[in-house]
Amino acid sequence: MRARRRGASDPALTIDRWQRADTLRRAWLAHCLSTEAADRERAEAAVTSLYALVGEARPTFVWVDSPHAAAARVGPIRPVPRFSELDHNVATRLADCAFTLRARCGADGPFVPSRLLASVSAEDALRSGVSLRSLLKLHVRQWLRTTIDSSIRRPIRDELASSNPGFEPLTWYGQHEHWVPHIDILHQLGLVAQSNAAQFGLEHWVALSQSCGWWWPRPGLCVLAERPVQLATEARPGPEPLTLRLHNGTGPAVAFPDGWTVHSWHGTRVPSWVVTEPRADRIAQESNVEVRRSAIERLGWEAFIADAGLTLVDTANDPGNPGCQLALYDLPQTQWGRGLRLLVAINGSVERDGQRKTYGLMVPDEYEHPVSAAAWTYGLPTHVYARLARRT
Amino acid sequence: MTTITLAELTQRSSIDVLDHLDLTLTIPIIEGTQAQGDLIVVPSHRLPAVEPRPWATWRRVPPTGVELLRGGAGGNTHSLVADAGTCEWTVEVRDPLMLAIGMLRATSPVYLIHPEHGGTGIAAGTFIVRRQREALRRPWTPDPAWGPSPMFALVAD
Repeated sequence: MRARRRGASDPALTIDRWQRADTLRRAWLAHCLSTEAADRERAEAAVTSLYALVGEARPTFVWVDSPHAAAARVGPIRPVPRFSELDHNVATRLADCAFTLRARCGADGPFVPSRLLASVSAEDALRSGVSLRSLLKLHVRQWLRTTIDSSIRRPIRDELASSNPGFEPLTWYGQHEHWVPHIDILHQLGLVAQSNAAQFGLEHWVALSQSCGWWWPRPGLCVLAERPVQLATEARPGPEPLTLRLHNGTGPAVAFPDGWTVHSWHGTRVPSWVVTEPRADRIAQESNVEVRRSAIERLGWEAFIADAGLTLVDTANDPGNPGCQLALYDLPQTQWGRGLRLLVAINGSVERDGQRKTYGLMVPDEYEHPVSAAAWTYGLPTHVYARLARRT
Repeated sequence: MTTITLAELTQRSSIDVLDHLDLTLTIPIIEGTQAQGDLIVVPSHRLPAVEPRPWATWRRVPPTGVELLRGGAGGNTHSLVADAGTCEWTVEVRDPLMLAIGMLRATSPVYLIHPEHGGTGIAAGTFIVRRQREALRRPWTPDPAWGPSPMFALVAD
């Protein structure tokens, strides 16, 4: 972190600058969530300028309708190019350019624990001497890291990887590149040296993030993707209404013009059947516990227990988890295979909305008592698990 | 660290928790068995079959913590946090059930912290950290080269 200029600015002036930053970050959120067609002319001009910055001529442009469609056009790339190739590869030189830009702007400084500031308003924090930079790190960079990077970019990237095994190229995320808004806002508030902004092409990074979706630079060729046509989010339960996650309970959370989609249930990326056709028999086939939980929540636990033909074996108090019950169910063998029971357990910690997540775990059918079954999941003797002191 | 609040723990470790968790509560220090989500912390004398390998390297746990287990989606991580010089950690552990991810030995209380589950204290002593498992729907296709097929899988977060 660079040294703070103590007393260099008047608090009222700093508060004005924060209010301007607040307006700017809301405008950036709209860009990040935009479902409009790409501004191809502006995007191509920005890519041409970035190529020029690293000494490359204007590439040939290929536009595709989704990141998935790009997989066929981008082709494989060696994850680690030979050392001698590094300097010649346009993608690595652009990465170097972006990295240096972030470093020179002090944008990658230490993480600010959000709870330290959450209880006070931004204005009060500034009055008490918190620097504008720290506040922007928290309310722009870290906020966008949650809302855009972890909640939108990451699920799309995961879906892309699972629908194109082996396709793991260096990707630029355009509208979902969460560091670009941070540096742009620092720049607009006069916190970035003009020479750095110009040398590393800040205006072109900004133009790209505001005009298209993801993109893949290659020597002589640049593949750009359109933005999604649908992006369904919900506020994460909690005090900060601007913090979002992907969610659509009846259809795709993200849809691209070519029909490629990503589904999400309250922020958990799920296969499409979880929201479009949740059925007990499909839940029985699912191996991921979070996907199973999402599908059961979509159906509703009571409907699931009825549909799946579960019969209660026993219930018991969950050791270390006061007020919560463990329930052990028999599973019909036709769907679930032989020798299994379902242990339904409730999380030890509450969610933001005050609810607790409920999980269904498969256990061997040799246990008659829920506590014995729960002990098995951790490989413990029943008497050890029965004395569990605390669950969080 | 003796008794601290969740607020102090997040500040010391620079690991943040979700903002609905109550930061003002003092974190209890637990001597016995306790669970945090899909991890369980068990005093080592309760599981004599689990032991460090003879060549195990014990590493000091820094105040910023070590990542015990990183979650699948979203990357929520269980971290172990301790005052400098009070706790050592090794992943070189022999567990007949293959559920242990490591062991810790501490001379004063240490803490487990997770963004969703919050914080919990572990008393001085030697503890085994294990993951949770669930039974598989059906056995894997047996491959004679690998011996008997496993009948359970780790709980996928």
